[in-house]
Amino acid sequence: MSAAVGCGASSSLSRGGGGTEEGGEIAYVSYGGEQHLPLVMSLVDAELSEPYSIFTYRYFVYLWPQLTFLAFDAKDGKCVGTVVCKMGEHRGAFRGYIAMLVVLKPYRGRGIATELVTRSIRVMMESGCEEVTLEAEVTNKGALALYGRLGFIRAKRLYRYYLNGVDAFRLKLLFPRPDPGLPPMMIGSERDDQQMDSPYL
Amino acid sequence: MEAGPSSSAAAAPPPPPPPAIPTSTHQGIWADASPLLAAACRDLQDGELVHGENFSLFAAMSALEIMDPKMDSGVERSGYNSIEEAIEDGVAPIPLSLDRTLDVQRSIDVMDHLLSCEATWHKGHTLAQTVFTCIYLMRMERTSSHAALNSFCRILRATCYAVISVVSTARTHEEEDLFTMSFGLPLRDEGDEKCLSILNSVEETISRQLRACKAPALSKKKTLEGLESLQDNPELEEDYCRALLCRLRFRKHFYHVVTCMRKPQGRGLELAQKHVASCLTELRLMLKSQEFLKSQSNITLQQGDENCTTASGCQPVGFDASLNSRLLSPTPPRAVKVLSWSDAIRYFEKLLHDLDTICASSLDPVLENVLHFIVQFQKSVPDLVSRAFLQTLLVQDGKLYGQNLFSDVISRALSLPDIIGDKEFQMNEFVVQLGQLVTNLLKILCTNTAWQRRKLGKSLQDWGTISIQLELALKREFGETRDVLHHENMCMRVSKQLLLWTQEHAYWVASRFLTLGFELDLYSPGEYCMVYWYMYVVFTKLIEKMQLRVLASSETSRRKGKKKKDHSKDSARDTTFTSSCLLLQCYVLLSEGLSMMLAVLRNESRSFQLPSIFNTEQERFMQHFDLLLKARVPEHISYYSFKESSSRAGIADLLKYNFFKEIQKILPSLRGSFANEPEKLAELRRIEQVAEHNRIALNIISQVGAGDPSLRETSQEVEPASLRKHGRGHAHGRPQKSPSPLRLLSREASSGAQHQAAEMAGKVVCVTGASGYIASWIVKLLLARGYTVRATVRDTADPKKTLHLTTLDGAKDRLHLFKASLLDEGSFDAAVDGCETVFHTASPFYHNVKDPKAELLDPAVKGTLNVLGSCKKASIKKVVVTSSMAAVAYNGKPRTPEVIVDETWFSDPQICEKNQQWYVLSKTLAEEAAWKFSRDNGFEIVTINPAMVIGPLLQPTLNTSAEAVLKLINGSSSTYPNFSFGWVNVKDVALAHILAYEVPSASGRYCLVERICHYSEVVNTIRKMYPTISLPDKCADDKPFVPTYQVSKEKIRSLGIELIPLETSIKETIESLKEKGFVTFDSSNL
Repeated sequence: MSAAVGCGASSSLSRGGGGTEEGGEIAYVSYGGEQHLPLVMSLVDAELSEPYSIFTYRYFVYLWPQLTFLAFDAKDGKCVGTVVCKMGEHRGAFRGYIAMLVVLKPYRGRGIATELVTRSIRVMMESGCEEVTLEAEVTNKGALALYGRLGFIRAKRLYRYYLNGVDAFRLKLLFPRPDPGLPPMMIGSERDDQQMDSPYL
Repeated sequence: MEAGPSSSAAAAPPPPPPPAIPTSTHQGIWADASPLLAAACRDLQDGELVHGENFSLFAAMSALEIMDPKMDSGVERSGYNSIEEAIEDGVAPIPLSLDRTLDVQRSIDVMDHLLSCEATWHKGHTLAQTVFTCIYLMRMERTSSHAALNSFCRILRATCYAVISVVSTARTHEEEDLFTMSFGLPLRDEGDEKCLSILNSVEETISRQLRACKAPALSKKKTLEGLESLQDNPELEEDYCRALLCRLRFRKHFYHVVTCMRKPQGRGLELAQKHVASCLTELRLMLKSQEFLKSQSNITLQQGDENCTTASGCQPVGFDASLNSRLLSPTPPRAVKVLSWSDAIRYFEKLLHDLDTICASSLDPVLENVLHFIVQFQKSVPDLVSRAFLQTLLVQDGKLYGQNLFSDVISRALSLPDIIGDKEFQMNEFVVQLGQLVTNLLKILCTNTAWQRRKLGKSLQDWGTISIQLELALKREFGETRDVLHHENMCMRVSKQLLLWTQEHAYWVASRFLTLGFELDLYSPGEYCMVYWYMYVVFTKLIEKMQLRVLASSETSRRKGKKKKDHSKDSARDTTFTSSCLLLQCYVLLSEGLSMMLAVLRNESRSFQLPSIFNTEQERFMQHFDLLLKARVPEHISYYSFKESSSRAGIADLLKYNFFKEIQKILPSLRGSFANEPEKLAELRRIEQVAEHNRIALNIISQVGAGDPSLRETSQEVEPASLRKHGRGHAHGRPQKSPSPLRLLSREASSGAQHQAAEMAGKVVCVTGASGYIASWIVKLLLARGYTVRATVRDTADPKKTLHLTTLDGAKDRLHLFKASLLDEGSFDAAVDGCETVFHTASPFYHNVKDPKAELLDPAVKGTLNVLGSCKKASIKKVVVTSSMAAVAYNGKPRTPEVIVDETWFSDPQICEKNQQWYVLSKTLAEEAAWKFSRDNGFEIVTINPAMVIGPLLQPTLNTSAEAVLKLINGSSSTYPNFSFGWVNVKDVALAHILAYEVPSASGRYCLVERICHYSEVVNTIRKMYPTISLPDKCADDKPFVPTYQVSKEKIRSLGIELIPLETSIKETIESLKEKGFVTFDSSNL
């Protein structure tokens, strides 16, 4: 889908814990229910090019509330950013998908989008996703830079993907895994006496 | 950004009030269902959906989208409910005006707007929202009284239909499907086949009217008899006649172009070319008429004519942009901005030039030239219509140009003219399959570049598979021997050449795939190093295969004793071959040089790095080249190959092999051979520029040193700029083929995957205790480097010990399992005999032993001697033995933070025994025995002495060192031990083993410890990365923490290994444990 974010060069990644962050100004909140839906909708409708029906929003936030986050300006309680995602099986892989990512213009460049999306991705990773994908307009430099820093590659170009006729990139983030070629393993806990590890004790 | 429904097409009439719901129609009675719906909704919670057998999720979604102005293209559209309503309202009058002059003027506006609509359609919008917004076209029978408009609309509709059929015949795909969707529009009607004759007669009438008004006054009377003028103002008659004529004639010739191009046989293409020329003439006349039409329109243009869809600048009558929007559901409304008239003219000019290029093609049946032609053609970024025409020309009835069987095309490519038409060859299943692959390749190459790259990537799998099948068939039929030139038969020669040809094309496809990535902007500067590295590998392979094929075919012709006149042909072909080889060689040097330069900058100045919290460069590599790796194009390539060649690149190598200077040496001779080919000369100029820029950059780097901070900025800025230039230039170049010495990115032994594969293929090595943790990784890396591996395990039938090995990449062909047990004397003989080297890893490792001698000491010591004995029998020169830090650090000397332990330390067996450190003792004694054996028997061993080895697990069972981590994270203990351990990543340990063999100068012992740290520190590290895992928070005892110390990394660095940081290793271990299900984290904790 799409993203409207800044190109904050100083992206502060991965701070643990919840509550207020980014110099005490922004509070990040996980999707808490119906009261958040209009906030998400108005942000996305205002900032993104694609039209979404209310169904689309409900589909995401009801099935994967844990992947939707909102950013509030701690001073006035205004909702200034949001991320909406899903995850599920896709061609045999468990895959996360970032559907919408928005930060209001005046708040861009402060790492808010990075923090929002990092939170979602972390949940995806911990839920067992093997990869995360999304689409971004080829002209959306801010989003491309942001995702590039997080380890996404531009896997494909999608010709005239958006209704406005602009091409998209399909971005992909592959999580590290020990060996991609192995079949599901038999689990056993017995010792293998031909192991040759060698610590010293 | 905003693409809402508000920005809709131009030329909408003022909206009438929305119609009321009719109370009854002939279909039934309408009733208000609102109360019923409201009642039903009361039972639903927020977010709930009605779900039923006949009401699916999709239906629910559609239902919700109906009446949502953002999603429903039928809602909130101003305009009429039906065409009839619009006509009744006088939107599309016939005649267009009762004033005959105005009628002509308005007809021309309609024609112009239709041309703009047609171009807009070609550019990727629906027919319904463009050409068929014209009410005259929708109800063409109404225009029968208006000859000019009727003939124009009729031939336009016939043209649209013909174009649609071309595009549908050609391969279309999701993004361009819109083009052919007709939504039930009246695309065809009886009488359309007569459109040309109708148009001809109208044209004839208007030309007579034109002649009449130009004729001298005297004869005017005569001609005017029976001939009405076009309109009423004699002053304007000539200009209007001309304006109308060029528009009608353009349609006529364009229709001819479209129909003639469908018949390439005979003189079809030649005729089409003539009509293309006529079309271009008429387009020029149309442009010329603009001045007159504007002068008559009485409109002062506000927006400037850049946005006008007509030459006159007037809004046309008879169009309604919203009429067909209901047809488009359920797709959300797509905003359509009709191209301006001048843009439409420019579009058609380009289209006609592209079609002309296609018509001018010589129908050359040589595949290489066909591929070159398409790639060249794509450089001008042709639009869908011309690409579709090219495709239908190339592949018709399953034949090239509809006339050459693809089996013949292939035999021609193999330089085997004798088998053209040979039935047996045609029917051969490989030839049939390859014919299909070539057909698909040609079709794919005609699609837009974004789609093309995706399809090429997928087709690589097929090329790779058939290469392997061909190779196997060849081996099966003719055995493994290569040296049978003297008695090889025709059949074998053909098979061999077919294989080489197939491999060559697999690499051609791969090179196009990689270069298109630049055109599509898919690579970020941080990834250029690996992209250029892979390109270098592919280009090199391409050259190699091409050379072999040409060699083989010249062998064939030599042996057949060709006649003299054929020789001159051959030598001409050879010259072409040589120069295209040299050109490709430039690309090899360029990609090699750029990749190495980026590697140097990265190694020495830390620029172009790819930091990321979620993954590493390896994942990016795997994703970018996933399709190539899966298709084994080429074989034995992995991230490690890239890492090994790039991580060691230093500035000295870069200066030693001055790639850019090499290119500049090649260019002059190429300029001579391409003197008559301007496009090639332009390509050479681009190559020269890039080479020159980077040669200068290299000089600067060498003067100031890559680490110079001032350079960092320059390189970040200048470098990618020139790279992109290269990318573009290159993307346009046909990846030709040419000979080259295999050149390595880094000449150090063990690097350069290319070299590796060539040199290592066939080298047989043995790994003992192969199912173990470190050994599995050694096996994996060895296979990836092209070795043939003999793996000993105690029980070859136990899948827990072998499945993770037999499923490794390359295992199918190059992994052989042997049964052997440490204490069975001679049981390793079979596995070891004939090997280049042995990696002896087998040795037990666990604590809590009851009988140390039987469980640990004997297997370790006797087992080692047993294996070494087998090695001696097999006259193996160098053996790599897995030892341990256990055999290094336990000699009673104090170990404190300032102490540096290195390879000169040896553990003291007596102290170990005294402390009952049985595992330590076993490793110490085993290593001691190995060194003694080495001295006594005069053969070389190298020992690898790692500490606690962690990292990803390949084997399904838990090993002791991973268990140490598992115990911390699985909640089994509330305390951590008071120990300080050294830690190292298993991947580093495995690589060290291999390099110890591969690097000739490697000798003695190698300590492997990334860091020594106390358990408390390990726990803290885990907590930082996984804040929600519950971890032990107390030390097991109250004593002071056991102190840490240091282990020298100097020696292991001499093998070129930079050890993976502990944090990464811990993370990999935990992820691996999670993945294998040894531990699960309750997500409610997270």
